[in-house]
Amino acid sequence: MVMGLFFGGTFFSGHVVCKITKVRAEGVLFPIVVGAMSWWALMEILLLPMTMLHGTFEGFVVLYSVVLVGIFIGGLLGWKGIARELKIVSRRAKEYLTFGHVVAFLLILYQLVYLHHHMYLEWDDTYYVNLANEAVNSNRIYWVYPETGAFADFDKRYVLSLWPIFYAWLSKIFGVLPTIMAHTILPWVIIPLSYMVYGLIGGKLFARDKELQGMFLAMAVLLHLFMSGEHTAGLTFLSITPWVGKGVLATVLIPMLFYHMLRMIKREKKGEWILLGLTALGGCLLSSMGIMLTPVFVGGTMLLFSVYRKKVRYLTHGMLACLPCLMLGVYYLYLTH
Amino acid sequence: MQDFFEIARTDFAAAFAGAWLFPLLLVSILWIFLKEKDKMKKLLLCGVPLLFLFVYWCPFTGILFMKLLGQNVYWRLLWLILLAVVIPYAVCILLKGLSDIQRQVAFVVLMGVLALAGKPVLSKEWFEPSTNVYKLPQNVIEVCELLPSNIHALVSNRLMPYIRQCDPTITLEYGRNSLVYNGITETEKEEQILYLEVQKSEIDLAVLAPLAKKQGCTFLVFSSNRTYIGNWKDYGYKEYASTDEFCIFVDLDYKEGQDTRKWEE
Repeated sequence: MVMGLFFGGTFFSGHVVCKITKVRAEGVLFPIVVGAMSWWALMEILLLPMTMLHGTFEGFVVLYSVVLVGIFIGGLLGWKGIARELKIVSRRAKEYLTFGHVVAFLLILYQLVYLHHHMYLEWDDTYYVNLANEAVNSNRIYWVYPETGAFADFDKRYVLSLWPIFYAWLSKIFGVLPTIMAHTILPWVIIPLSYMVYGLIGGKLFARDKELQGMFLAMAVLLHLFMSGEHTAGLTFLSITPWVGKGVLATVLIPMLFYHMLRMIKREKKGEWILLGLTALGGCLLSSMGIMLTPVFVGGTMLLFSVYRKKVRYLTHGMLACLPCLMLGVYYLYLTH
Repeated sequence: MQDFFEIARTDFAAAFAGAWLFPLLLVSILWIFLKEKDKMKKLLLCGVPLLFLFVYWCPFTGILFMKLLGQNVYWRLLWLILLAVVIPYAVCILLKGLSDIQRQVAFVVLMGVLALAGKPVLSKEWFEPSTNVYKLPQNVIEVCELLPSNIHALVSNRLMPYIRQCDPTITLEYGRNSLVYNGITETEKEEQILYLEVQKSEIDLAVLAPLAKKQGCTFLVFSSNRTYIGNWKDYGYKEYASTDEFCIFVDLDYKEGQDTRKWEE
């Protein structure tokens, strides 16, 4: 049910966002990931002032849900276009039954089933997961010290990036304890979402060769299952703690930024920059690291684009897309230094 | 400057040691540089990873980012190097020129090489079988099933990180921030005296009980291997329940269903 709500909801939301930004909502995966980024960006916009103004969690749940339902209905209104796109997808579905895609699917299934039957005890959950638990339990957003629940607290480091409230929201809707939502249900959402982004990247890199797209995806999955260094490095987060904001940042959002860069190579429409801006804002929700690393990634890549194509607008537009991150970044530094 | 290189080197080793993924990344970048004809793709898949490697190792940018991100998490800058894009892309370039069967055989072989270049993540080293839907240690669930809701408790450090994940209506006397009290030998602060007393293998109830009562700890949960100096009832507590690993004690004044949660502004 959670998967249905998330992927169904983001699919229709993505169509609405694509329509507004005048970017073609091609296929099934693209509107889903655009929708997910938009959900998180919207959440950051609503949650930040509500947290600062001591808004209640239930108030947030109602407001966020109402806005999302509105967007969802907006998506349904464009059903003709969606049906047309789905027809194209279903006609071409067989093309995706390649050896590489089958291997990728089996590896993803293995990862999901393994994680479903095993647990990884994350020391930081006592803060982050309890932050979500406390929101549902006390109806306060962030102002209770989550590890004890016994006193008022305002830790400046995390106030701008309250990702646990996202799964607290899902928990409230489905009547499940956030601990169960995070540890048991959320991996089934985040892991497929991450590989959807890699699937899209493969689609852009090998537009005409479906078999190579599948092989690219299978290898991307494999590299999440085999690691180097310590077990708490970037890609391993997708297996060990897919419910932690940092993990989602490293394995969904940064690859998504890369995907935007790939799209930018081909077409530089205004809508593409807006979608990049939404992704950047979504990154702010995930982790304070998202506030910092997103402008670094976009800025660095756009700097190279600008130098190579001798057009400064790549850098200026990229930085404009990251403006919310930059503003929050300055505020974060003010809060923490 | 020396500190910067020391931190950068340690963090880099923590991210890439014990496997062949980083050398594989460098080979992949070189391969893409030689074989890719599309200059923009070359820029994205060779230029961008090299740029962030430079940013990571260059003392000028590195020191700046250490200040911005924090020294402890400087290594996260390495997340910007997308291993799971660059390496598969290089391998796919290699596969591109092969015919159907050759391609599939080469793909399987190269998947094997990639797997051998790293260490498996999904292993018993990091994971254990889950026995409950919370995905928490079973001994925590057993204690939570015995404890009533809406109470204030002082629990063993073994339970402390997990108990509120199982039942968030319970408030705790100590969180992880109290671990800094470990190692303190002399103190006059009651909060620290209480914490240090419950860490002992033989707990003096004359010290523990009055302080626990004063802090409003209705329930006390300790490892069952603890021994006590004194009689619980003489100090206003009694044994409430027990599991294989833990003993639960309750304040004699506690009434069933009472809300004893603690709250400090």
